[in-house]
Amino acid sequence: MKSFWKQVKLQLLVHFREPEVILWGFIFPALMILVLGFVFSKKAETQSVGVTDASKAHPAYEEFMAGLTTVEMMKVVEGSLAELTVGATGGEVDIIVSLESEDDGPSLLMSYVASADDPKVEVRRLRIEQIVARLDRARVDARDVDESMFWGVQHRVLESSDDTRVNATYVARLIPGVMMYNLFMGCIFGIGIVVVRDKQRGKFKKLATTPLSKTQFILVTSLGRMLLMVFQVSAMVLVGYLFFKVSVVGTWIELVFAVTLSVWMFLIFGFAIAAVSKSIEKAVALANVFFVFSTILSGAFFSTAQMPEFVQTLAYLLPPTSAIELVRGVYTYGDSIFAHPLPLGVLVGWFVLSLYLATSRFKWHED
Amino acid sequence: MDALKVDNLVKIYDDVRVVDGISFTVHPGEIYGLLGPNGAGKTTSLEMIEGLRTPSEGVITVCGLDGITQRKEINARIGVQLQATLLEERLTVSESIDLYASYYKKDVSVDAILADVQLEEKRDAQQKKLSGGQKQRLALALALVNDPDVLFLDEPTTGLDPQSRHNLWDVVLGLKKRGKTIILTTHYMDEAEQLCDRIAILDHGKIIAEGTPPELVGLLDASHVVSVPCPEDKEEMVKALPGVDHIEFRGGSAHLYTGDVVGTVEVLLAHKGVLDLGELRVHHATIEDVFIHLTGRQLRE
Repeated sequence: MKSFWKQVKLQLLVHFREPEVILWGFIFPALMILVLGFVFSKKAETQSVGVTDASKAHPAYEEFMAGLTTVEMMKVVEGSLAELTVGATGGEVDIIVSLESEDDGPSLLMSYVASADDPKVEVRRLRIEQIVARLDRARVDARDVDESMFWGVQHRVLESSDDTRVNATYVARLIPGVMMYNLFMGCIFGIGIVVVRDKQRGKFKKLATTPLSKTQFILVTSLGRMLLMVFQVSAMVLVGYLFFKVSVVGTWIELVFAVTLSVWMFLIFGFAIAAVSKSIEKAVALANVFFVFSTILSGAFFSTAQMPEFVQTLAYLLPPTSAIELVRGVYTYGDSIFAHPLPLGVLVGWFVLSLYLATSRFKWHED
Repeated sequence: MDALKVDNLVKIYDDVRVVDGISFTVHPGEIYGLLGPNGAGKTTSLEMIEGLRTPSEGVITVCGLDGITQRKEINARIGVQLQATLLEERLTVSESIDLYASYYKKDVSVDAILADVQLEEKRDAQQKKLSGGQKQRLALALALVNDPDVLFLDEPTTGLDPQSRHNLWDVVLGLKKRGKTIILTTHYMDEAEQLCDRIAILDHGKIIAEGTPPELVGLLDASHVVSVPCPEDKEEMVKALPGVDHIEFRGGSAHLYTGDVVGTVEVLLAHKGVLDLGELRVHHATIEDVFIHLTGRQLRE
C-alpha cells in the first residue's frame, strides 16, 4: 500500500512539473469561465419571451407576434408550455406568454414567470402588458371599440419552480459545465490519445517486465491525475467566487463526491479509449466523436432544453452530460446527489463499462 | 540450476521465421552474449525471454520457472534494460529509481544502485538533462532495483561514444564480479569479446555458432588474418599462394587466414612487385572474422 501511494505521489509530481499543465489545466479553463461569464452575463439583459404553441390558434397571434418583435432586446422562443417551463426553470426563458380566449369572449394573456422574487419580473410583465395595450389601442384607432373585448392579462408563477433554480445566474450554471467539460476533454485527449502514443513509442515495455499489474498501473495513473484535477476544480470554484460571487449552494461533501465520481469515470473512460485503440488514428477518431457530441449536447455552455426530446435523451448517455447535471445540481442548485438518480446511474454505468474495457483490453505494447 | 534455458524457440511473423528454433543454456554468474547483425533476431529472442513477446513455439525456463505460466514470479527475479527506455522526463534520477523500486517487494538502497552505475552526482538531475551514456546507466540502474538474479541487457551501448561505452562495460563487469548472471545482445564484436564468457552468433534467426570467444575464433583454424589490396586479375595468383588456410576477397582486398603469419608475409613479400604491399595489414583473428567466415558477410552489413 505504501508503494501504491508512492507511485501516485510521483505521478502527481510529474504533472505539476509540466509547465503546460498549469497553462491548459488551470489558466485556460479559468479564462473560459471569465470570458463566457462576462460576455453572457451582459447579454442576459436581453429578455427571452417564450410563446406557447397553443397561442398560434388565437386570432390575434400574428398581431401579437408583430408587436413583440418591435420591442428591442426581446428574443422570442416558441414551444409547448411544458418545454418552455423547463426553459424558464433552467433560466433560459425569462417569461412565458400564452394567448387564450373563451369562445367569442375577450382575449386573455396568461404570463408565467419562474419566480416572483426576481426583481426584473415586474419590468418583464410591464413590457408584455405594453404590447397588449398597443393592440387594444390599435382597435380603438380602428374604431373597432368594444371594451368588453379588450385584452385581459393574468400573471402567474410557475408551480414547479423553486427559487434557487430560478435565481441561479448563467455563471453559476456555466462553472460546473466548464469544469466537467474541460476535465472530460483532458481525459479523452490527455489519456485516450497520450496512452496510445506512449504505447506505440514503447514507453510501457519496461513496465511490462516488472511485477506491476495493468490494473494497478491504471489505478495509480488515474489517481495521480485525479488529484491534479481536484486542484483544477478548486481553482475554478475559486474563480467563480472571486469574480462572480458564485458560491457552492449544496453541501461540499456531496460536491466532492459528484466531482470525484465524474472525474474518475472520465479517467477510466480515457483508458478505455486507449485500450480499444490499436493506433493513434483510432484513438483520435474516438476522442473526436465524443468531443463533437459533448460540445454540442453536454449542456456545458448552453441548455439543451430546446432540443428535440430524443436528442435530449441521447445526450444523457454521453458521459459529460450526466456529470454536468449531477455536479450542477449540487453546485448551482443545492440538490442532493440522490435527487439525480438518472445521471448517477449513467455515470456508474459508464464507469463499470470503462473499467472492464480498460482492464481487460489494455496492452503494455503490441506483440 | 541453470539461470536460463531456451529450447527450440521460434517466432513467426507473417509466415517469416524471425527466430528459427534457437536453443541455449546460460549458467549462473555467466555473461552470455547474443551477437549478430541487425535483423538477426537477437532482440526478438530476448523479448520473448523477457515476456514481452509470445513465442510461436519453444520453451523458456528462467531460474527454473516456466516462461509462460510463471511470468509474474520471473518478473520479480529479473532485471531488464531495453534497447531504448522511455521514462518520465520530469522525474529525477533518484525518483525514477524510487518509482521502479516500488514495483517490487524487495527493499533496495537507491544510493547503492546509484553507486553501482556511477550516477551519484546526477541523483537530483531530471532525466531530460542526462547525456546518452547517463541515460543508459539510469536504464541499467532501473534494471537493478530488485537486485535481480538474471539481468538482460539489449544492445546496452548502441549509440554511445567510446568513453561512455567503456564506462558501461566497467559497470557490467562490476556486476559480474558480484555474481550476477547477465544475458546481453550486441552487434559490436569487441563488446562481446570483452564482456562475454560465452557467445552465440545469430544470423537469420538461427544460432550459427556458440562458445567462448577463443573457442569461436578456433573455428577458423587460423590465428591471424593478413589483408592486402588485390585487384581482380590477381585473385587467381593469390589463391595459389602456399601456407594459407582460407582466402576471402572483398572490398578490393584479399583476406588471408593463416596459422603461420610470418610464413604468409614472407610469401607475399616475394610478390612485392605484383601486389601493393604498402597497404598490407595483419591482425589477430576475431569473432568478426568468424562471422564473415560463416556467413560471407560483415556484422554491420
